[in-house]
Amino acid sequence: MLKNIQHLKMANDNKYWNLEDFVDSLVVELDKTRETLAIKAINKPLTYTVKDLAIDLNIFPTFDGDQIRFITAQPGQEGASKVNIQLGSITDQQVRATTKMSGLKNDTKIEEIGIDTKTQKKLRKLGVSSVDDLQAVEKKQVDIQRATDNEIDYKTLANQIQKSRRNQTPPKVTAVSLSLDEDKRPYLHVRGENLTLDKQYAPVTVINNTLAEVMEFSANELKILLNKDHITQQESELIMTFDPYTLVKMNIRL
Amino acid sequence: MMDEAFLPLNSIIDKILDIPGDFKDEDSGVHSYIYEIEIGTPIELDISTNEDGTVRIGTVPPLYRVDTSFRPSYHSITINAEKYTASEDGE
Repeated sequence: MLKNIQHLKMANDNKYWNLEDFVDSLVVELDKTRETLAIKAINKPLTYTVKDLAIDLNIFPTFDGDQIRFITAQPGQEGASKVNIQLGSITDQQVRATTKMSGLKNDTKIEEIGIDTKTQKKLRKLGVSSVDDLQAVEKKQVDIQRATDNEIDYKTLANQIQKSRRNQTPPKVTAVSLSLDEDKRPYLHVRGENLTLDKQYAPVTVINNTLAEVMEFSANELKILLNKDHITQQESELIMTFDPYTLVKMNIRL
Repeated sequence: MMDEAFLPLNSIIDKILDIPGDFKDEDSGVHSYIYEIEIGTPIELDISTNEDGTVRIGTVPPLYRVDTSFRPSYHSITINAEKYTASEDGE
């Protein structure tokens, strides 16, 4: 009974759709099937792959003067048109050549890099489902921005990818100590992991809203030159940025 | 939102193709398997659109086998599948 009510509700929610969008979704669904298959085949020696698929739809077309759109026939409706869509075969060799394993440990899914759903779907339509796929496209000198009629802002996308990668290797401070350099100047010695990973970005440090000079930096340490203003004998706020995606804030007593 | 009675198309295809295609008769030493199969079934569809215009395809095999005067609209799907052999490198 509940399902009957749901069906009636569904019928009322029936909406018009474009054939192109429908076929796109059909292809995406088949892609997902192939991805599942690649994993399933590891443990199950006898699995089956879709060679071709035909779908018969009972639909009503409508033309709004600009484009033809369709709506599926609802329960009880008669006289619907029939549309038959056939998706051509894909050979076993093609599956091997075109399907990569999904869910590899070091592969980041596009859903995980914080981009909006619309961009995710546009990328999926282009066959891009992970950061690795994006890199493969980049290597082939394909301009994603042009390929999507400027619907994808590649600069924003590249930034999101960098940010996501950085999130996987966050900086970790293990020790902070005061030392003197060869000229007997005081400096703050920060030690840790994943501090400066990209040499093209020099770290910037601020102590109590005053810029502090970075003497040396690497992935494991940072030496910050101190002046008299920095040494207050009180709790001071130290802010370190290692690249545009990383900011570390800590309180220290100098 | 897709009606909860319906499943995404890829789930239905996965379930349809999840068949034990092996036939073994150890007594007479016979081992056969299905290497190609065609499956056709009427289906009910729930085609909805997302806010960005993309289409979501929800499918379910016919739920009721009782003749009623108010019948659901049955679309149909035919899947032609063949045995999948994974390559040596697992891809």
